[in-house]
Amino acid sequence: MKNLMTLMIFVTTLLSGCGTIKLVSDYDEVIDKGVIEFSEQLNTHIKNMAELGGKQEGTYNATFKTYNALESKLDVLIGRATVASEGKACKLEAKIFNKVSKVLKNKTPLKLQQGSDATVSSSSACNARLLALVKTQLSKIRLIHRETDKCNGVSCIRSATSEDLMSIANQSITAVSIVEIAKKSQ
Amino acid sequence: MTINADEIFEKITDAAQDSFKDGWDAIKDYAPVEFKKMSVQLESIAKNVAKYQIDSNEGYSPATGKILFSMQRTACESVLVAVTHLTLIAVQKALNSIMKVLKEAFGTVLAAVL
Repeated sequence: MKNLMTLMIFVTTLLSGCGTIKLVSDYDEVIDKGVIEFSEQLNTHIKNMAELGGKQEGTYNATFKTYNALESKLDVLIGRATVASEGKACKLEAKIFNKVSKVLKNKTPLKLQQGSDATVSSSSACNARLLALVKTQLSKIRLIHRETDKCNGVSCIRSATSEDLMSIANQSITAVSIVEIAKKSQ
Repeated sequence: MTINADEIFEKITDAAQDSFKDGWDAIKDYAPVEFKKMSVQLESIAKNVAKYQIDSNEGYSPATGKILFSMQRTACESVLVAVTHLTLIAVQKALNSIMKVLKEAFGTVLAAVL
């Protein structure tokens, strides 16, 4: 009986000391709202470009400042998530990591690792990774606008391109939002 | 005062299942929709490049198609990282529900004994 009492006191002390278990970082309103704003601005820009295709106002040279502004906005959010990650890498569950490695082959980023020791810092590193992927999408949209799409001989974003690139880029943007929404609702 | 292990086990299991289910439902809703989008997009890229090759005023060039394909690969990584994150959130929810049940169970027992 004495041993049982000791065990119960020990367990209760342990549980009350633990508070709540944290495997993921807290909901970050700045990132949540920042990504929504970024999404609105990017979608508006692409729609405008699709309508201005072939005109001077729709060329890359006439609109590159919009890309710079969007990129700066993302850099601020990435910086915020990176500081919270304390230099740790984003660790994926082994099976998922293997799938990602298969898809990315030798391009698998060093900041993406396999592991099960989830911490709040590594969770923030995953946030930073998700935002960095959105930035990668933005740089590819910029590349299409600057170099590969042409309308009447000038740089543009074609209507067909705009639809596909927004669907794809929005998948990366949604990935950031859905994680923040899930954190908010817990 | 006795500790009923079966009762505590049942409470823990219920708490974990309920909490994990909420999180798991979010993943079950999210992941298949995104994977479906990927297959639709890949089909669209192939169609638009084919259209361009027939008439250069339609669709888009193979060079643009190649970049869009690489964007799709990046989007795939985004979805997988998000799924990992959502799983962790679901696990965290379940763990905290278990802790709550344990606190309540042991707190009640101690209050009765002391």
